[in-house]
Amino acid sequence: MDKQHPYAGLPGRSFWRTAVADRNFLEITELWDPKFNIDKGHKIATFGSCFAQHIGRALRANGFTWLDTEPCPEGVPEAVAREYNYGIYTCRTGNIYTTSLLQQWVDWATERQTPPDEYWTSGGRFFDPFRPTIEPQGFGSIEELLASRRQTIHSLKLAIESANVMVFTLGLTEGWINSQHGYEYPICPGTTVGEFDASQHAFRNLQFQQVLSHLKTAIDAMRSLNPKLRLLLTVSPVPLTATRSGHHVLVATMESKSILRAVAGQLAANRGFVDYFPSYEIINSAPFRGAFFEANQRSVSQAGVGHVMRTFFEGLTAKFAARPSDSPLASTGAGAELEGASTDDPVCEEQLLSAFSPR
Amino acid sequence: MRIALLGNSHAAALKLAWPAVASSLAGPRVTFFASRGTKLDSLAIADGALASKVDSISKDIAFTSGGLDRIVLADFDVFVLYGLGLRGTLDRPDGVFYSESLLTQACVGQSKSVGLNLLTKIRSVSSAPVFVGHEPLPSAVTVESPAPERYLDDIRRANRVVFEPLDATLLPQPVATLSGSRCTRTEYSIGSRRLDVGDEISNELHGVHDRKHMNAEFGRLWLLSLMNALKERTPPPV
Repeated sequence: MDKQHPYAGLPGRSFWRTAVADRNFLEITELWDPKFNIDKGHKIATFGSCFAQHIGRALRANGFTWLDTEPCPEGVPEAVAREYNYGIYTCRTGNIYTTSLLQQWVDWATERQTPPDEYWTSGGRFFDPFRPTIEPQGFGSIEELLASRRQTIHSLKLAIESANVMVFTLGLTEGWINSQHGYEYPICPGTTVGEFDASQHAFRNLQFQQVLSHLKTAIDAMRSLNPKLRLLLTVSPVPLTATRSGHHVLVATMESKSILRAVAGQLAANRGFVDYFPSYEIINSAPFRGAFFEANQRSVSQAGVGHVMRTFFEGLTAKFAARPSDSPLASTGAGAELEGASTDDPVCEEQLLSAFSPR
Repeated sequence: MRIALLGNSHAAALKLAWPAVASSLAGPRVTFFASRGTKLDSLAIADGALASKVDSISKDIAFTSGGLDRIVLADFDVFVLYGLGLRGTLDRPDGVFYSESLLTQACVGQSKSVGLNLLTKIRSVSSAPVFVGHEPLPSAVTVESPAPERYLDDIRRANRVVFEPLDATLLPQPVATLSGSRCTRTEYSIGSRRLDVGDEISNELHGVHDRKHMNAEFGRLWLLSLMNALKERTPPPV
């Protein structure tokens, strides 16, 4: 009798016992089979939810060409540059948590939409509702705020036009919109600056089709500017700080992340120029036992970030490096701490919501 | 008026130009105290004077001043700090918008230099006027249109944020020497010479690829600009 069937001859990575159960979790390998190469000559843009900051930093530290289309002037101390959100993402969009927010930024960059004139004030300073913490003390005038926003939109357009690869980290499905005009805020008005107005501000929790549709529209718009642009999607493993959905925050987190993961998977499956990198699985899957989280079970530890990025670079090396010297990790040496797995906390407005939790 | 001019290699252009400038003026006397690179950072206040414990630096100071191996602050009416790692414009790409708040922070960060250290040391014991000259903008590869507004904005900001609080004045490079907001016109870097400290490379021409050091004609224009600033500061006789 023929013993051949579709599972016979599959590699070890296809079976739970050989790929996972028989291994120490740090030895679980081959998690990513990259669709396309990303080498040190490729220009890489990074945007998205807080976790994307780690990716940009690690790429830079390991000699990759990380695009910075809104660079900080020289002479600014690193801590100050960071406080002003330079070098966090490819340009100063701040965190882009949802796919609808990504579409909004891309619509502005591609001039499909005009950004609203809305601004917030506090203590005589002016704040951008779409990047409320981009300047630590806000702007000196409305004109300055709008000029800065125009700069970022222009820099985003430059990033889209010039990048070979954009890494986008999907973070949330929950968001806040202006109910009259439909545009989206990155964080609920009134939680950092601005004032919450129930007649103007509405909660929205995107469902699968909406998340997918916004992301597809954003990608199509970006590819209209740069037809060769490739995308690497990741899902942030960082749980929600707070939910307005009415569900328990853990349940809301799982629902959100599951939707985002499914959208990323669907797009990667259907489009040759879109790939998915499993940072979410590396941090969150059961075999890793939550070991990569800090004590709050939310923040990803330095070791976790390092492990994610090591998997990233090893995935590229395994598939594309012809010689060991081509490996992105060649310069770090075996056992070396992964450069770029910094202890710096990511810049994350959403985290500010924790201030509103009951004591 | 007794002027102490402290500088590094960039002071060579001023020192070479000074005899000709001095001959056309009555009054100001400039004493140069110079050493190359960042060596003047070793000057420290002791007994009302700036002095170095490093012999070679004391020797440079004595050579350039004509015999004084320390700078007795009370002996001078005005101090000039020239070059010494001070930068004239914030290094940033053209056409990118930055908030005033960030530029202010950048200005503070970029001002950290031997020159600023010396200013702080002088201010710890002297209230005499201090004028500051930044290292010349590099000479231009191509001539930019003469629209130095951004440069002049940067100078104003540096004065407001860094130098006025220390009761000092950062002087802009003479506008005639500028090529746009980021460069010096090429002709002012041709024929620049090394600072003369009595060693074997003293007074040598800088290499043709040196874009940072300027010649005596640049030094002459800068000193004239300094003299104008001094005139504006000195009240006319009653």
